[in-house]
Amino acid sequence: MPRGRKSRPGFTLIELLVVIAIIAVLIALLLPAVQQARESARRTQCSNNLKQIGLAIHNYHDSYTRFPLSSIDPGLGKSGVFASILPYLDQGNTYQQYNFSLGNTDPTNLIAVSQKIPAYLCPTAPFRRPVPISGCDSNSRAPGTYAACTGSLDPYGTFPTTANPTSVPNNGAIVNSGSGSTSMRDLTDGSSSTFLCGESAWNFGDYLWGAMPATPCSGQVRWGFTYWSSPYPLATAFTTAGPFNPKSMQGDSSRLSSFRSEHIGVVNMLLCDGSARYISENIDHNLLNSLATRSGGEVVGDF
Amino acid sequence: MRPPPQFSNLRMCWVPVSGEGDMAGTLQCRWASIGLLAVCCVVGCGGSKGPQRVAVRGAILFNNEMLKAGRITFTPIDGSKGPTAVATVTDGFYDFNVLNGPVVGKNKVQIESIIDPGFAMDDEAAYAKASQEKGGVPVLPQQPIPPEFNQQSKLVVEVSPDGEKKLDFSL
Repeated sequence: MPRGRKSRPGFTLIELLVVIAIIAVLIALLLPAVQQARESARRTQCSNNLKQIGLAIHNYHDSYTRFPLSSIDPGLGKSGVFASILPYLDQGNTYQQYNFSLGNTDPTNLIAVSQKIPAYLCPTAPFRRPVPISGCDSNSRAPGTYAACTGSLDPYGTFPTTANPTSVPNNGAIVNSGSGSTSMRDLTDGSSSTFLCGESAWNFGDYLWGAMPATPCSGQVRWGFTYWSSPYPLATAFTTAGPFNPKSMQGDSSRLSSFRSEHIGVVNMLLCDGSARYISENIDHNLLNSLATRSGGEVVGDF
Repeated sequence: MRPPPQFSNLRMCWVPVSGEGDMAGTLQCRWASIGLLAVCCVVGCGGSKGPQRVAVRGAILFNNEMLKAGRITFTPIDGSKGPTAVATVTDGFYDFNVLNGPVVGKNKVQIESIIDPGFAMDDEAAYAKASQEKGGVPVLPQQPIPPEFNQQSKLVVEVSPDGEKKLDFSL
């Protein structure tokens, strides 16, 4: 009796090859998914950061019965939300170092403002240059990637004054000192449909260091402006007036106060009820403005 | 006599098929794997796109002069939905491409002049100084273009997916 196929059960070579090919296809499909899982984890970490910031702002509100101001002085140069909530983020020592009667660019505050605070940095956001560069980033301020939402209008706005009768105050949950102060009861649109904070990024490849103030970096790419300690509108007091999630500045510095992120297609936004949401960059702009205002009276549908 | 293998008729790739008929089995197997690959490719390529945008460009006249530095914003209204499109106006001209242009449908247009306060807007120290000099009032000068063209804009244009891609405004 000839030995051969009949007597031995098992796989043929072709079957084995097919199985290997299928496994290869599955791995090829899976590997990109693994990379996306990493990004997904970073995005979740980013939303956790925002939730921590939201919790800190709520705790601040419990202590002072109002929200922290986006800027405590009309010159927009002293301190803002992210300095005010430091003690509620376990950063009490940094808070103690901060002299709030001096500006964030005052050398006295150097130790405080140069602290990199993990909760203020989105893990997805890369830094394409070292931040801070000593001598260029004034007072060596550490970067941040989050900003407060001051509404849907001009972030510099205040109540009308004789010098500027058409000025419009901030209409978001967080406002600057020239626009009064806000607390939970001012959120007549509902805390679940009002933005509290959102993301910023260091992603403007066409944003260069200016000639003034003169620094050794003038003319080089600056990438961004968001220092957590700065209350300046281009740093941490954003609005939805400009484009949502812009990728470049195009010669218009007001775009520095647009919410933007390094995540693909979405921006993480924190609502006043303490929840963080991924907002698509293709969101209808009227809906976005409704979410940015605290008392616009708009009916906000699903988002 | 040995009983026939139980699943040999199903000819599934991962069931050991022995003896007769495995040639046909592997053939089917090959087609199945090719089919699987094709299905994966088709399913995997589906991406989500935003609303359709249109490349638009044009000129802006303010008081019969070219608007030197400004900003033009198209915001969808009245049933058309989508993100806003913002372009910088330089020496009277603006230019959108299909990636950042306005969405198809009715759009509200807002035109602002970028005012030069005498210092770069990203110069915080200069802003703080100017604010101190003015006694703590807003430093930025008033918008020269009247509010009916920006804050309370009544300018509405219909952006069609094809046809006129040139929109000029005279304020």
